[in-house]
Amino acid sequence: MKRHVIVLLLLVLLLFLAAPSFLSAGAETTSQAEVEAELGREVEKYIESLDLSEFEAYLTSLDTPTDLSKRGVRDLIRALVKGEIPLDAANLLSYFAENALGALSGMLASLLTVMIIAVMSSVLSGLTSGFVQKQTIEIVHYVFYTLVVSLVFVKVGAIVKECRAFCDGVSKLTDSVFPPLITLMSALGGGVSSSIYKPQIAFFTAIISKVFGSVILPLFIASIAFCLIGNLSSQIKMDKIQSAIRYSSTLIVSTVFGLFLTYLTIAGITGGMIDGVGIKAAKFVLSGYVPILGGYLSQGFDLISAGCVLIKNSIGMIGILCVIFMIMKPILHVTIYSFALKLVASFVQPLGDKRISDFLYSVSNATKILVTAILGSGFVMILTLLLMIVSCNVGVL
Amino acid sequence: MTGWILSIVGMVLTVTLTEILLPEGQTAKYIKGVISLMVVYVVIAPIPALLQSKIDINTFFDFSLSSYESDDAFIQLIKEDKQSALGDELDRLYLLNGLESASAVVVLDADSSIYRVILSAPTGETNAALRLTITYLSIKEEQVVINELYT
Repeated sequence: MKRHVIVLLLLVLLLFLAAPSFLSAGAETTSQAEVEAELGREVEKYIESLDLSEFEAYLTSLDTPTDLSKRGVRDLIRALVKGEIPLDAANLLSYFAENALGALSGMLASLLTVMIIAVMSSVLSGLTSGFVQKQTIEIVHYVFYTLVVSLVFVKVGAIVKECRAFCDGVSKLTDSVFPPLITLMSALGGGVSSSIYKPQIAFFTAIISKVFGSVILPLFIASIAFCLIGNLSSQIKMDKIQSAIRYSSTLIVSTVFGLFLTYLTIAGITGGMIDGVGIKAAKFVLSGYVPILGGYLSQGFDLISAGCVLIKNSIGMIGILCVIFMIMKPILHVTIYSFALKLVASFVQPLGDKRISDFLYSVSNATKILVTAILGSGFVMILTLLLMIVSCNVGVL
Repeated sequence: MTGWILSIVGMVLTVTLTEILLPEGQTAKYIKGVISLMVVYVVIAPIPALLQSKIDINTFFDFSLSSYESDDAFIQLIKEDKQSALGDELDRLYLLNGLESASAVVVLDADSSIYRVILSAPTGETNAALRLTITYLSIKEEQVVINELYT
């Protein structure tokens, strides 16, 4: 009996000792929930106040997986703020597969025709090999070569058109994504950062369209023209000039984008650091100098900053997703076409028509110019967005 | 560039036609050699013009581009919210320190830094409220405008 009483007393004592910690844990959870709810209200208020109409219109016009374009920018920001990933892996994969298969089926007919023409050319070459006049064999080759070239050029024309559309897409994306980001950076006290990014992004958009429109596309077209010329006659070879064009275009893209990227990174990081010092100082003052009360008191101010930072970073993330989907389509089309051309060239080669096979292979190599330029532009855009995401966050970290 | 490519295409077509039409013999290879030289000339023809031309980068890139405009209404909204939040925080701070009648209005500048604090407090609470304000916001005394309330 005595032992039971002691155990009971110990249990009661334990309960009393444990009670405050349970209570404080409950209070902490409530306080955290309150802060989260308050933050949610701030975010909601600012999402509604921010002008996202242009971004909304751009996202609707962009070819993305259904769950991304259907939701709208505001809904996507809400999802990202809650920590949800707005993309379903299955949807993303099916979108990717759909685009790849679509590109493949679009070019399958013309590539099969190229193969049939190559087979016919080989057969006819065999039939005419006994001719005394060798010129007749050459004329037969030119006829088939012209057919192959016209089939390939139709697709090359479509690719050039797609690249021009990509240039327009870059300016539409920058016009819609960067103004709200710059607004939020200014609102967060990142005056230096926003003044750095404001003119540079406009300049960058001009660079992409100028470099693409005035340098890369003409070089690509010239390279394709040299592919055609170089394989037309067995007398004149122009493969070296093609490699020179390819090399110079890669050099131009890497130099222009590299220089811009270096400057933007240095300027962006420096601007971010200058702003960061100011924001950090304000934060330190509010929570540090009044040790007991500061932490609690600066909550309202912090919530406003935190809400803005969350929206800014969510817009940046949506911008990155937009860039990925914007470059995905032309990259897929160009890469698949390049691969298909290589495949057809390898099938045609054993049939004996070396010039047709060489032409197809060199056109496939020329597409590397476009892939480099598109990937370079995408990389620069993603890095710019990442720099803007990491800027002006000091106050809430 | 279009003219250059077209001239090369024309030259190569000429070579091809010559190849077809030229009778076989000793002269043929010399003619082919001459035509090849002509092709080389057509290919390198634009180089002297390129070297002589002055490239003006300003005509290539438009440096006078207008930069992106920020949403001033939104920036103003955030600024007002921050001002109001800081004012509320100061009011709570005064209250927690026993200064029940003191209140403050915070004015931020364009960079969201504190520009002015308008402190309203009864005569007896002015000094304590001023000290708290300066310590809490880490600002200079000159930045605080005191509105002494006489009761």
